[in-house]
Amino acid sequence: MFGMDWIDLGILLTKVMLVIAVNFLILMIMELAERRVSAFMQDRVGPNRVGPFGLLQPVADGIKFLFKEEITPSQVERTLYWLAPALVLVPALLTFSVIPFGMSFSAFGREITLQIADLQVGLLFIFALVSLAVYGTVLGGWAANSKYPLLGGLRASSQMISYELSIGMSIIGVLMLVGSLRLSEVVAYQTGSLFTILPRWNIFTQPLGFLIFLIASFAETNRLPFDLPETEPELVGGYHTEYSSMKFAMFFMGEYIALITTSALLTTLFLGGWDVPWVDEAALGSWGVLLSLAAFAVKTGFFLFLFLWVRWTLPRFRFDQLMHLGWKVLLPLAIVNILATGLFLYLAP
Amino acid sequence: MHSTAYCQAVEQAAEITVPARGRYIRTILLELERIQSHLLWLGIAGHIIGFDTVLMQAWRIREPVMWLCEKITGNRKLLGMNLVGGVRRDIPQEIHAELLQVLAGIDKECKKVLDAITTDTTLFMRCENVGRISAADAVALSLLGPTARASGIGRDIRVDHPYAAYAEVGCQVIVETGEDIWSRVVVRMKETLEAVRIIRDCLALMPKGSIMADVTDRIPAGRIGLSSVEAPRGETHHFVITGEDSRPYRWKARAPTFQNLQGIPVMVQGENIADVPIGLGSMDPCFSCTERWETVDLRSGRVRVYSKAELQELCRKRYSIR
Repeated sequence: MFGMDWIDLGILLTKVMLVIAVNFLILMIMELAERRVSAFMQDRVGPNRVGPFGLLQPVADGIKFLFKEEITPSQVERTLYWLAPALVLVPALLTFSVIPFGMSFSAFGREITLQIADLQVGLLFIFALVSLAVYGTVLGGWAANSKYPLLGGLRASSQMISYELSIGMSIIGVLMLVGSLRLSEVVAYQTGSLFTILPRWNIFTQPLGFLIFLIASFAETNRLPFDLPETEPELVGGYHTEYSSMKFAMFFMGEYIALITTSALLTTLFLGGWDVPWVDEAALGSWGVLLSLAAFAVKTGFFLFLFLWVRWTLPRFRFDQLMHLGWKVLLPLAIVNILATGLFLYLAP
Repeated sequence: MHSTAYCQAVEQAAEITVPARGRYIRTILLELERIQSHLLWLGIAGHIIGFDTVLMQAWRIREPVMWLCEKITGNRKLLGMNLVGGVRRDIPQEIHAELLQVLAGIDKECKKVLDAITTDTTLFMRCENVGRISAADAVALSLLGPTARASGIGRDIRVDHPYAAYAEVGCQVIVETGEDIWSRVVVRMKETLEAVRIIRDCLALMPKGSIMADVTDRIPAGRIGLSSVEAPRGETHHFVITGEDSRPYRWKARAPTFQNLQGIPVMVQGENIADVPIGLGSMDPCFSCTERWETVDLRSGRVRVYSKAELQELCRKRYSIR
């Protein structure tokens, strides 16, 4: 199998299992954190009955979803109706496969990279998958064959397509600096320092690109203030109105996994990935590896908290305002960013 | 609110004069109800535009108001204080200091919320120039309460036809001229602050004496009473014809929501779907108040009016009372 032996395969499978398991663990933590953080911001207690500090609440929720009655409305387009939740969850999980989450080290006589697949076209692969996730939402809305999901699906398609453009344009600046689509090289580029004091993270060299990416990723992950495809006062539940039980849970999980991968991507692209500033990880041996993993976790955790924080501090945008922001503000700014970066690269040696 | 309006109508019919202290206590309770209603509305409006933090915070501020109501009357929401001729319980001097302290807290927090929401640009973006009703339309459609006052129509029963103790303590009519949802938010928040002021004045000015008129005779039959009260949502009218044995012969209540709903078509014309829920929500609708019943024969299109006896019979059949 492509010149792979059993140890290689074992290492690869371990990494795959590890990433999926950790993703689902963070998903559960996020589910609880969302409620506890919102409760904290709103002066409430939040769920604290199941287990110590309510830690087992996600487990209870999972069990509840499993035992909920599975309802398939009679008017739905069956195949697509069943496919849509999977189309949201699976691409979201797959995206993580190209993100480097730690420094590489050697064991078993070979170099082990903490990244499932170091693709040459890593970033393009991510965008391909993110675009796939839109299909889940759109098809879910369409297949339900009912008016609110349809409106939700329509909103999702126009919103995500517009914002994907901004996301794509915003990272071109990063690509121009790094000169590679390979995510491990994007991280490698960001080690070292800028003007001797700042770490050479892209957030400092590409602040505008970072902001655009951050704002657009809220729209891309359907989070408030841009959660228009599923607004409850207008569209009941949007595209997942007609879904129940585990199928609804899959939409729900897909949304959170997308949140996790987006945070990881933000970390990788703009915050130096697993890089710890002012520290040479390679010199620290196995401690360096652990340090790099911790750094990645802390940075990703920061973005996850940011997503929660923003959700509970801002009201929802209206659709025309959202489109206005996407097409008339973010996209031109992204183009300006590309031009500025190009000018800088042309003038600087 | 409604019990005050009803009692006032009966008092008018039977020519009963409520003692001053009773009228002051009624005013305090009416204003407490206004505060909690406006805060509840603010929370729901926040929820409608996807701002759940406002919902939770507004209801947290509302909680001391409910506490105050319970302290005074024993109930949180349906206060059960009004009797024909006065009120049931007094507000003793001993709890005044405590009440004033809680009021100061509410006042402070309301100002903070008003500050926070007036500086929030995203909130402003969602509410400004949305759900407009011009002053001319507001008059033509007879809109009431804060909905009309946000369109620049300074109508307020408390000032136009003072009842309870409003003539003594006075009341500032809050008028905004924005004609949009934003103005409705501001009107309600400012009214909340004004209500706190009125309660404070009432507590300070409240004369000593009886809280209840001496109602010894039966209420005379065949008299007519009509009273209007400025409810948090707008004018509420109660009409009463007294009957035998101190029972009402006819009673008709008119809540403001039915009238306010007439503004919806004007409000949503040419707006986004996303603005419809907040447009409807901005007039603080109470749908249980709008229930009407009419039977129409679909074949002939004729409307049938039921007599009192027929209605009684229907009701008995429905609930199997014999």
